[in-house]
Amino acid sequence: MKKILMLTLSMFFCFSIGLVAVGFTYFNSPTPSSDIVETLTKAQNRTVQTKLKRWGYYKGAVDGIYGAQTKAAVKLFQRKNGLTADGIVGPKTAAALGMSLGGSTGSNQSSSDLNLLARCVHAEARGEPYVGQVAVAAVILNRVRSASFPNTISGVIYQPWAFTCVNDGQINYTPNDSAYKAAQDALNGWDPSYGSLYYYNASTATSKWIYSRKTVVTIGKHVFAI
Amino acid sequence: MTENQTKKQNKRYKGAVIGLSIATGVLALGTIGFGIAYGVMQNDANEYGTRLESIYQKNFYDLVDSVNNSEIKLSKILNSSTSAYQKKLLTEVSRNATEAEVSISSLPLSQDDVNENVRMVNQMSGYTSTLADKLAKGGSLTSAEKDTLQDIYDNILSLKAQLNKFARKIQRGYNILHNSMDLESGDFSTQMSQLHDVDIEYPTMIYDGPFSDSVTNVAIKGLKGDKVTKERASEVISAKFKNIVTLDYEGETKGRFETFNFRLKNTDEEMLYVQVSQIGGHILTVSGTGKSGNGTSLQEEDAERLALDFAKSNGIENPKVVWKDSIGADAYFNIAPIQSGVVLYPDLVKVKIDLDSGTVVGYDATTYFTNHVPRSLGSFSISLDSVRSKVPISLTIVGERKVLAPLDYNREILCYEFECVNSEDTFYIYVNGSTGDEENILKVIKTDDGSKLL
Repeated sequence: MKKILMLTLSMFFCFSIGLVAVGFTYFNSPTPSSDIVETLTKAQNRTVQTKLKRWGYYKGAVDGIYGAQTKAAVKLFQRKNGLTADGIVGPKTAAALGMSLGGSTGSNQSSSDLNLLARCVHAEARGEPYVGQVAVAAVILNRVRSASFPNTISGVIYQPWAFTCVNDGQINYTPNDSAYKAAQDALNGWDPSYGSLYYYNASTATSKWIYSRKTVVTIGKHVFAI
Repeated sequence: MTENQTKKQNKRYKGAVIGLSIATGVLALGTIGFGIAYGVMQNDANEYGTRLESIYQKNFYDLVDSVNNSEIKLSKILNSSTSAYQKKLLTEVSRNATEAEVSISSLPLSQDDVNENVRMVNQMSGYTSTLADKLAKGGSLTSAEKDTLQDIYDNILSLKAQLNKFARKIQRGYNILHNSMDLESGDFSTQMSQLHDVDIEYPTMIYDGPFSDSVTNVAIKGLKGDKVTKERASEVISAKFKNIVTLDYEGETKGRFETFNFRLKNTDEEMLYVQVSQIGGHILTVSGTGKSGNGTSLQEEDAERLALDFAKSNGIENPKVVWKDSIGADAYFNIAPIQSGVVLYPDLVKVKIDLDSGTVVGYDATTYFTNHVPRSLGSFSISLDSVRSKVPISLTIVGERKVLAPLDYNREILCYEFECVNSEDTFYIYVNGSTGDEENILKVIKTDDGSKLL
């Protein structure tokens, strides 16, 4: 009887440890990174689309947006050319397409500032009205100009804990066209937030401190403040 | 109990023991497996934590270095009487302060604390570089400026003492990461909040550098007239936009500018957000996107005319397009007012036209209404012919105009603008109209998304 009791106990013990371990593994498993795609610039996407369209693989619009239709066309192209059909334009596919992924054409600079700004706008304000997206980009640029914040776009965006999208990795999602346009407009000097340095979602903001700032305007779900 | 029965029972008992042993074995193996996985993960987490901590500590030590360096240089400046040497050191202090800013803003601090610390070093950087510029132009430090430098020095001295004390704490094993898991109330934020207790009064009349408070508190000079009602504001919009389907009131803006905000939808399915100033009832901004076609229905000249007409109808005096670019289906126009043949750059208006529908999908007149007043421009005391020789021979001049250029933040200077090209690049060169000095050079940078001026 004693043996049975001990066995049962040890089983129970092992089992509970196992459960804890399972729980731990589950909660700590890294989030899948399927959303994070090696992205081409819009200009490069346009080149891909133009080439695929010319050769009859692609039927959609040449808009520089790497959507489902473009991906399907890339896959078809890869299959026909004996490449791995993963829908991603890597070095081999690019070579087969006759384009280079390295430096873009001529002496053009890559717009990494615009791209970074667009990523932040997309992660922070997708689903908001367009003007709300411009305003989020404008807040980032207002911070760059402000004495109290870092003096570069990347400095402001990657400042620890400044933007939740950096902490949860959403900054790495590919921005959509609207986010790009909003970032472009803000870089051109548009500022519907009139110099705001902060914004928060009134229904989800947790920091009490943020409510002490002076509200300038409410656009969509975001309250913009100085 | 017979012997048989006892045997049977024993057998059953043995079977149960074996079964249970196997089950326990399997579970034990599973547990060991999970245990190893858990250990590996913990190991990973610890390693990531250690790496992050190293980055934090590097930033902290960089900060200590920058502050130590600037303290030494500031004390030298205060004890030097040679302008050239002072200028060299001021430039270095400004650079040290910029480095300090980069280090501080990479540390895990609460927003409030990081803001105060960053403001302190940014203003120090701006002030010292402004003084360096002044010395470069042949000036010398006034006693008031030396007093401000002394204040900055005192502040840096106490900052240095505190930072070095804290550095010793880190050497004894203080962990920045563990003490900043809660940003707002973590020990690290508390420690660092003691660094910026002293507030330096920068003399705003002398110092109007990049980070001075007077730049952010610019008064609005161009908005005149009575306060309008939101009904009137809505009429203003209806008069300026065609094919409106809906026009909904969206609330007010209460910032530097006070506006009534509206959301507009037109027959082209374009959604626009329009802000009308409460004083004078002018359209201040329009934000929106076009119907995302391919942008082929309209020529750039037509779009330019539409942009000019829109600016004119919104009270922009004597508008002229001074810069244009198109990205996809959007055409961008920068429009400036012209006063007696001079382009007023400080009063720039920006217009974005959708090349399919011809709608004004973007408009920004806030700069115009901040700055625009009738100015007494003075006159050019140097002739265009005599400054043309300032342009290097390697460049070909393709355009010339007289401009009022916003330089040094709050200063406006009459300049000759030369648009020049060589085989690859385009430059804009600005030559002072009274001294003949080169004030600024802008280079046109071609990027993947249109051209930019730097």
